[in-house]
Amino acid sequence: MQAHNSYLYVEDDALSREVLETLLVEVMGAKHLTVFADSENFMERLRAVDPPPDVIFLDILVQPHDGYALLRTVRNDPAFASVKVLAVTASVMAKEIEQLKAEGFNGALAKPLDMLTFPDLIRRLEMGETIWQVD
Amino acid sequence: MSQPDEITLLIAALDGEPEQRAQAQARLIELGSAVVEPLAALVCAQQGRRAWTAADVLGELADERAWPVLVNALRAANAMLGVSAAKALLKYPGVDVLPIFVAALPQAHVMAQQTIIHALQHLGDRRAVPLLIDQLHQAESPTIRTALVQTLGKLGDPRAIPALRAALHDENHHVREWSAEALKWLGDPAAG
Repeated sequence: MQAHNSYLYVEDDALSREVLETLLVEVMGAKHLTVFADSENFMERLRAVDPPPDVIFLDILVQPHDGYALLRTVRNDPAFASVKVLAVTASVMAKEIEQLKAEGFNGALAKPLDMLTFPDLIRRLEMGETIWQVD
Repeated sequence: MSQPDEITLLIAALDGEPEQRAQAQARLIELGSAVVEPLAALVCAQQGRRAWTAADVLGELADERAWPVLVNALRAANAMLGVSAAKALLKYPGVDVLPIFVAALPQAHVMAQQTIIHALQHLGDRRAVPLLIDQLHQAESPTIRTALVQTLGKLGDPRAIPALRAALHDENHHVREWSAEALKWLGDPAAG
């Protein structure tokens, strides 16, 4: 199955960027993937993404503004009301997942990304499922 | 169309878009034994997308003739080929892949390393523990070290405790946090 959504990934870890980019573009044929290596001037850069993202993957600990701060700025902009925002985090323990849900994330992926299972997660995401990859 | 001609066309389609690739792969799997040698040659050549899509098909066929090239491909510089080779080898029924993965891990591309480490976690075989500890001492990528401490914790072997305690002082916070979590799984009081 081809990935049809427009994706944005905000991640400061180079290997994680390489893995997601390879899986989405090379394996799943995604046509629209934008990657930010930091969160500087995030909203300005987000508004410039063309086509606008349907799904945003946010590394929770990205600098200088963390994933929670980025989520709040996205949710405060009506232009991005329908975008799905998933946390990409190494902290997938139950307590953190509850916090992510309370903050308004639409899902979470465990980091390091598991290349054995990631394509299936994306397929499920594109089918409209909610992904909370609690390990 | 003759079968060799069809195979040639299907192999060309392995470089295509995902839907085209998926159709070609499905047909190659249907053709079965006749495609093993041409696809193994693609894996040997290690060139581009067709190499790893061929490895995916060989995994579905699980033919013993392809085993050596898939093992060799674990160390490929083509990152996705290493990943697909690992996935393919997992599909061979009744074969002990752990020694193969353990031998290939130090020389694999970092993306294939990540896949192999996750595969070792899914296999749940504690024979991997000494190698994983050794790799934890050597891995430069914090992402790989995180995957290693996660897997050491999941395997539940107390031999990993000293290495995980040392990793509580890793320079990377993800590694430190996951080491603490892994030590909790192992029931170690150092987890705090």
